[in-house]
Amino acid sequence: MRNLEEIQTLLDKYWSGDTTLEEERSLKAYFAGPQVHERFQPFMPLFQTLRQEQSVLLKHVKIVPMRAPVSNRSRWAIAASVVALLGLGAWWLQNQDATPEVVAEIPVLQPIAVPAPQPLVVAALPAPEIVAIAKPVLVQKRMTRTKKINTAPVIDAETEQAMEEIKAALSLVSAKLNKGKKAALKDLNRLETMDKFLKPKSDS
Amino acid sequence: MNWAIFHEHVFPVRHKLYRFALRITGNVHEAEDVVQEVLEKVWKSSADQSAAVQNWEAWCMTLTRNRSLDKTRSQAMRRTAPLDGIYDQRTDAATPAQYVESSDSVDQVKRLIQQLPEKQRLVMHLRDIEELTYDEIANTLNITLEQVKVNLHRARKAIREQLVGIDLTT
Repeated sequence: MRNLEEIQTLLDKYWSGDTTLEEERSLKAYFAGPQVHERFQPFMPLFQTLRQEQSVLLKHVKIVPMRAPVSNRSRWAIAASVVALLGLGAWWLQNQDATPEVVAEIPVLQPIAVPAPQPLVVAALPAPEIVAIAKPVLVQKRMTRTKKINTAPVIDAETEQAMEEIKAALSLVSAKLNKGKKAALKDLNRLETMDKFLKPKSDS
Repeated sequence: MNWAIFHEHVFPVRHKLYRFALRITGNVHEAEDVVQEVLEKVWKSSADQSAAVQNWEAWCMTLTRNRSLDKTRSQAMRRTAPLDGIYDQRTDAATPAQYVESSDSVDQVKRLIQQLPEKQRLVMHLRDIEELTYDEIANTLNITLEQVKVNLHRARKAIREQLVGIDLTT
């Protein structure tokens, strides 16, 4: 057992921060021993704590997933690849934009004041269908791979002229697109039917 | 980074880095993350950086300190909240009977240390637990030798006053 005065001296130096590392290890050893004098008992928990803390170990560390540092040459190669891919993607997107979907709008037709319409030969349709078409209609037809078609706005008094233009537009569309041809003809038929419906009104 | 250098000089200090990070963050998981990040950063360091390092342990400790402080401040963690993480640590330093007997007082001392001002707490940790020299502490914490001595003295004095003031052995 060490001299009590020696321990007291070491403790005093310890509190004032004047002990060497060796002296501090000596103190820790004393407080880790079986017989700590009653005078020093209040300080036992401190040295117990220090000893405990020294034995705390890192249990989980992930070293395996660490990858070797990437060389500058590899970095440039990766960057070049990314840029090339981005460029390819942009080119592809631009090509997609070059064939936009175009919507040809046929303006509202109103069944009033149609002056002397040209007689059109159309097949007779059942009455319910005619009634439905007689209402103001906005016909939209989706077409692809065609240029945009601008149709002039129609004035109510010039319905006939508007219809001619619409016919021309639909004919153009149907001529260019096999896919849209059938639908365009259908719309044309509808317009002619409408014309037939409007004709008696203007006569009255 | 050369694997041989990493294996010989860096990896062995991981426990020390972990304890230091734990002292700063006060949280087991945060401390583990810090050590992981520091080890990865050292591993990925360039040849120029590696060549400039003279003391790997000191460099790793500085990186650990900076990363831990960043983490702690960014998350605005309360100093007292994460103590539970520290108390979860179990060691083989005492027999189970001794541990039960002294666990309360040891926990109180841990709490006292954790409640010290940051600089005092870190200086005391590096000296009394990691047993670094004053120069090494000054280098790690980027403070002067005089500041190391002053903070160590204040930290120990505060702990002593608490120990004498409250009877922890009962």
